[in-house]
Amino acid sequence: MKIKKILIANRSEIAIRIARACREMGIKTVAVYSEIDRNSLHVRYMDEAYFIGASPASESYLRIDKIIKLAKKSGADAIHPGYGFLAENPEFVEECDKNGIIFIGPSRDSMYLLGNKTRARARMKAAGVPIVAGTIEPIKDYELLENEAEKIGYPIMLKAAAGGGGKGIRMVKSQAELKSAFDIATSEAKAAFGDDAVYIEKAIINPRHVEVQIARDNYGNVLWFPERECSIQRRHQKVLEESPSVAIDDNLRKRIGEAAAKAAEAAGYNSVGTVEFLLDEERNFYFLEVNTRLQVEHPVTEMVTGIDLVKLQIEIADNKAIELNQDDIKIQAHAIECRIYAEDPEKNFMPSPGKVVGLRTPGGIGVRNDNGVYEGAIIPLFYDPIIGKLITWGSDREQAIERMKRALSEYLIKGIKTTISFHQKVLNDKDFIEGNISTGFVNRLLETKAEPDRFYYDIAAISAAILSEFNRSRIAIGNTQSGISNWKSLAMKMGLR
Amino acid sequence: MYYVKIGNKEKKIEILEQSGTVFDVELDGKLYRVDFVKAENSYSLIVDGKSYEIDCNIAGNRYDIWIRGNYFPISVLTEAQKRLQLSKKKKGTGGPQIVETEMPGKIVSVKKNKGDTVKKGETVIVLEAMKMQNEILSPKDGTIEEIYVKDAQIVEASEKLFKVK
Repeated sequence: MKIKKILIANRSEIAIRIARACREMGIKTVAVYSEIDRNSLHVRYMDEAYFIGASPASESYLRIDKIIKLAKKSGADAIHPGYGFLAENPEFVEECDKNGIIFIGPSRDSMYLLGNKTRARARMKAAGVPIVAGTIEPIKDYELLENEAEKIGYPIMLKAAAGGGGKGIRMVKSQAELKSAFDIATSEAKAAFGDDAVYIEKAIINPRHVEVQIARDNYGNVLWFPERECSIQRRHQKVLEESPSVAIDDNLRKRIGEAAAKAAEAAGYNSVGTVEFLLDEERNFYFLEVNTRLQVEHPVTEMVTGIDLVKLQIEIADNKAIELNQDDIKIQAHAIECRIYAEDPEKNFMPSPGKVVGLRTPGGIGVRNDNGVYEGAIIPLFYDPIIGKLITWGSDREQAIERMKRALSEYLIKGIKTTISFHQKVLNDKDFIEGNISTGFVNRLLETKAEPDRFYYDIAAISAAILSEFNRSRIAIGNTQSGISNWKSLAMKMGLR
Repeated sequence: MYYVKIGNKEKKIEILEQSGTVFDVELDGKLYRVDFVKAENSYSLIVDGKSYEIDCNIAGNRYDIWIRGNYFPISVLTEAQKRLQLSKKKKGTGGPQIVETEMPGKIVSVKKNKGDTVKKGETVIVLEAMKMQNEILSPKDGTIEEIYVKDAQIVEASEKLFKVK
């Protein structure tokens, strides 16, 4: 193995996930940290750690120059970008190449090709991968757009050619709405991406979001993995994923998997990556985009296949050939991932940074907890709200769901708001249990106000009252039934304890 | 007597008697006998043979309680506090109102100046945290009497943002 030391240009749970694989492989790890992250878990976990700048990402985790400099200084052979930050920035790959550092991800050219929606669509169409009906070339002229929209038929999706992250996307139901949608989308696209070109796709009603993990090495060997179902989203971002999807049978799985492998070949892809598809109500699938990085939700695939995707990614970057065959990839039952965000689900998922004053993590059979925090850790307001991922494995979907409900009931994070209680709601929802889900699921769920267990209500209220009485030093609370001596109880009352 | 509020439901609770770790509690006219003991950061309750582990985080009269992954944000008022709240309510929202932050964040922009007139629901300040922007709106029609923050400032939760009269 050429790679002996890796700089991990990321933070929180994903930095730790990658460092764990490195430790198992005998590879040394180098952490970088911003001002506020000095005491973060990833810094404590890795072998070396270097300061890279002030807390805002633009002054630290996004600084290509500083990261490259530190990689050279620390003698790292390779850089792992994680997800987010610089993970899909072709310029960063170029800088790594120039400085003789291995970038753990695809080649610059492959990333560049797939980073632009219309370029990627054109390439996939040419390769015979099904794409959503719509325009191939980017459009800047309104009249041309109107003609194309008429040909495709409403409703349509208007999207920014250079887009990503849900920005510059609009659904247009009729021609009457087209002009104003065009004006907004082009100005948004110009502001966000510096490019006002748009394109259109036929809108797919109640789609499922299904994606296929792929791996392809420098020698053209390619693997596809069983799909992940990612329809549970808020603000176009996933909150809960599972594998396999209830909507896909063996036959469709093979077809969609082979299409994903074909997409990887067409783009000259050479790393692990994810091909995203939309699945319509008739179970037709359409290419959406390729995520040229390790995905947040990669653990569900690891749980159902037993394959360490980070290890595989590092080996491919190390120029090794993939040793596994497609036949080695088998689905073993079912896995679910719940993303734990520092957000308040009661208040429209408002961010909830702060200090974790208490933490109890779940355990037991079939539970995997990838988290990036510890008791006393600060969740900074500068970065992504994801603080951990809880994954359960079950011999079938029902068991994975029951196990996740059980694990969530054990999971306690005090001091900040999290999505733990929201996940309980999802897992208890009839439509979810029946597998009747689409990308509109979360909005529907938020509209239905589920009443929590009435008796828990009373217990919570009584507890608050007793603790309130205790706080006023009017009563004592003991720690065993046998008792509080009068002396102790007096001491407690006087706050001397 | 305590007034305990969960969501928009309010319950009246009285702690009648304590004997060792056992409390007799009356909740909306119903009696409960609760065995309540503490460990370092959590509590164990046994009520009528049923066992519950609860966790609590206390800040002022705000009690965040967790039971088996269910989360209950609770506010507790004593009788005196409740009376005060009621008399305040009677006076209505005619007086000046101070708007505070609900979450920590960075001030992205201050849209209004001292002395500006605002309508209810108009954006006064934009706050950003974790890559998400939140618009802080005026709670009423009126005049901005004071702005306590400036552009690019980092604010904590429950920090004063502006005063509207």
